[in-house]
Amino acid sequence: MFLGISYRLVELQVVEAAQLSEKARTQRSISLEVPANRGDILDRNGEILAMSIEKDTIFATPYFVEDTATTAKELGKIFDEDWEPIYDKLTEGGGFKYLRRKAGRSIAKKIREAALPGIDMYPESERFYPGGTLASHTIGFLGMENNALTGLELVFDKKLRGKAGSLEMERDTQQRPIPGTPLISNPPTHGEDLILTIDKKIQYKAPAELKKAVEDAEAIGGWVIVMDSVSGEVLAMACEPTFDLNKFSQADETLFRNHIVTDVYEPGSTMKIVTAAAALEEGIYVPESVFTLPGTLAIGGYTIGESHPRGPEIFTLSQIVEKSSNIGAITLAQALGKERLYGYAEDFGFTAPVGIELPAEARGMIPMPDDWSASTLATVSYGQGISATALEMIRAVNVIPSGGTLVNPTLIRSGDDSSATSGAINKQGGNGKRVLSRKTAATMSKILQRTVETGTGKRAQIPGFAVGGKTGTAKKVEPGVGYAPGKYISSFVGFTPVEKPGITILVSINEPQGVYYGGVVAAPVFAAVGEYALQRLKITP
Amino acid sequence: MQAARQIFPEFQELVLDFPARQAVSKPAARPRFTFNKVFIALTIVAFACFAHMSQRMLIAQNGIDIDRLKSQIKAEERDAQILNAKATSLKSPGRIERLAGRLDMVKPDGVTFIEVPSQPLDPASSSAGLARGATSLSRPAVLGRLVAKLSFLVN
Repeated sequence: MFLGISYRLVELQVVEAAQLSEKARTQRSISLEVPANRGDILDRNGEILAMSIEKDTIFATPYFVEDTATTAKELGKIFDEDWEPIYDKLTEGGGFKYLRRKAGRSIAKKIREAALPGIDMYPESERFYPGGTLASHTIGFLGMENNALTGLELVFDKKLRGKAGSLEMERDTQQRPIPGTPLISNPPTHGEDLILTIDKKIQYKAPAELKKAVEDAEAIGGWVIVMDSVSGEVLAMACEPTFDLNKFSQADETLFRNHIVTDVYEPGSTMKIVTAAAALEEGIYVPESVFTLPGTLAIGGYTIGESHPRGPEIFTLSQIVEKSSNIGAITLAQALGKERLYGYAEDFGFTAPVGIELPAEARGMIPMPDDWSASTLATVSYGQGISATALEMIRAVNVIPSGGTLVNPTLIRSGDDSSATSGAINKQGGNGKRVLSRKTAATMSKILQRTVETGTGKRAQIPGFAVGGKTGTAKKVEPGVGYAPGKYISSFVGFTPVEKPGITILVSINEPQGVYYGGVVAAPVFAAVGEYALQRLKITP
Repeated sequence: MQAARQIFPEFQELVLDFPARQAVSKPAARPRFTFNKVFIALTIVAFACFAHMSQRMLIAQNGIDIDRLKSQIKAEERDAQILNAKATSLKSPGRIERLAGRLDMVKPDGVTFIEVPSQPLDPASSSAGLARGATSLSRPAVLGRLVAKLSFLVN
């Protein structure tokens, strides 16, 4: 017997000691997760665009509810809703029932005061977007379980989320942690803040002006991008119609689509900038070169004309761009040849994604020169038969004000923390790939300035500032249909001031009714947003 | 014992003659010494236990206080978060514009740019200007200053 007892003692004290002490520890301890605070999203001036607020989630443990009917009625009063569904929830079985996720302070206070048996709550973080609709497509949002669903919230989820910690404490008989008894403590790593290049006020102004234009043109929507010409920092980016980030669950899912990033469309006449710049860069022509252009041109079985029909006319190269002549662009392209035109389109970034920090970025398409038919050279020269995203288009046009370099748009402010929220636009950027010489870029700037002063973009003028830009009116393509009759995307892409790099803006109106030209429907938005942005950024003429 | 002495007086002698120093003194002294030591040890242990318990109580009490303070800090942080969110909402440009509309406020006039001739100023006004610390400015510089001055309209 003595031997038996001794054996058992050795077994308990030595052999199973570690296992048993662990069992004892788990029996008297409770493990709690210490959630990490999600980082805020800030604009370039440190204004909050997205933040997290701790709220209370109210739940029931039906086993512990004493008087179900009374409890349900009491909860109904607190929640200001019918008590019967609550009663059903409390009686349908199960050990845990959500009653109200992320409840407000007043409800949580009432629940605390009521002290109903079986009803309890725990803190849960809720994302709050103070701007509501402000930059909704860019910022994105989180689901009910705080899982990132779209936008920057999704792309930078790891950085913003941080890492939850844990805390193990001794517990009492009612499973409550005993204060001051931490056994193991792993503090959480809080999420980092994300500083954007967005300027909150320009971001407010741009969609407000866009919305007016969309309503005036009875269009189905539109989009606008405002970008620093040198650094590529996006100051504002918005789609219309939009949705409130705080009520995204009530919005139509089609509104979540960020057309700027996910949609491709024909650049239209905006492409003439590339064609003309290539002809100048190659030294084939000068701005004053004269062309006698027919009213129509028959190529590859198609007859191509101008958007505003005319007879034979004499144009200079400058006028081809200013008056947006299709025949003129074809003439320049024929002088360049398909290999060189494709090469320049590639250099202007039409075949490569921008790499913006947003999910699901689409990429434009230009057929390889070997696949070009007789008419492809002609259509490519004035922006048909190819596709690009709005971001690719603004990047391409921005080659001119940036002095000939291809600068990728970005949404994330770089630099150390002290300079990150200084708000000033970055004049140190512009380290992109060189596409044009400074001389050609300056010449194109002047041509595009005349386009606004005397050509198709007159409504983009800003008092006191020189503006350069190009209109674009592209036919919409529908799968299986081809060009959809009467459906256009009307754009204006421009920059200001012309003398020194400042801001580049793209405005597109989707399916305007009535007068649909980019110079009519989109250019006024450019002028209004540009004027505001110049004053806001204290850019002088 | 008294009775025994009366009956057997020689017993008394016997007892008296007995080497009392050996039998009586030594066994009595040893238990008292041990008892004292044990008593002192027990007292120390009791005090130690009491001190330990007091410390434990103090630690527990402090733990509860810390926990309460932590809860208070968390509640205050929560309030600060909510106030911060409210402040940010109040600063929202959309809200300010809506309120301005409700109050029938009108938008300021647009910025007016004044073209200043680039010719040098006449000597009289120039010297007066220089006397006030002014310098001759080129047209872009003047326009720049005007924009900077008028920019408050949009900020």
